[in-house]
Amino acid sequence: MGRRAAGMAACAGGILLILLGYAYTQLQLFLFAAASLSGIWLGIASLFSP
Amino acid sequence: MHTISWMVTLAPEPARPRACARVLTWFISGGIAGGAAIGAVIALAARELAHVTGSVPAITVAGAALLAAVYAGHEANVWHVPRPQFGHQVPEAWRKIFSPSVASFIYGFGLGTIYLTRLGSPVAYPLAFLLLGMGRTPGAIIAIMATVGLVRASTAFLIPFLRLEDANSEAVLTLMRTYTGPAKRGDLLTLLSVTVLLAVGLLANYAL
Repeated sequence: MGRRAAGMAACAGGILLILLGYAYTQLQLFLFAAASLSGIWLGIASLFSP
Repeated sequence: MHTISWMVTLAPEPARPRACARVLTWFISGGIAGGAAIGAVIALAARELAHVTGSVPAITVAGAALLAAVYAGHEANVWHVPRPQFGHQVPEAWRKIFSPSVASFIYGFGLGTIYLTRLGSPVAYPLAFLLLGMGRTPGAIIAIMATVGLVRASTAFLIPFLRLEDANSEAVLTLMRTYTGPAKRGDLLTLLSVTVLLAVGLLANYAL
């Protein structure tokens, strides 16, 4: 399962890069940095919210 | 996470790795779709706002920076600020009604909508304010929210990595509570970083 999950995680990472790359081309750097930092932390933080 | 591990345990023991992969795939697809859907709703509202008020990026950037600072103070216990949110989660009964693949997609979609569920972090408020000021770039709003949905759903990868396929809800909750302190510090650090980033951007792009 570990290898399969690692492959899926890599695939998800690729999609993440494409989405962020697209947003980067559309926004000013500081807006992109603030929005992506907020968004990524917001996604991670749900892990600690029962 | 408990729901995902529960759905995996429905499969017989030898088929669990394959079932886990299938459930995770649908869950993450749902997360991206849910994030993109709420992003489209925000983009629509942002576009209408831009039509009504004209382009006012400096005001929304300043508002988002202020909100981030206000919630940073809340996280640092300097003052108390209300955290308005929808308290509901995706109904647990749905996992018994639908097949594991469909239920996983719906769960992922529900979580991916972020603002329609319980919020994991106050960072959600300045982010919403910031996105509402991006009415001229709706694609960027959708991409950012799809990213949030993807990252939120990707936390389910911890199930195979931490071997939680057979864990009960209490074990998962205990694991989550272990990291309450670091999560609060992460909230504070992110809010302060966002405040600084937006303040510097505001000064560099609009004031100087």
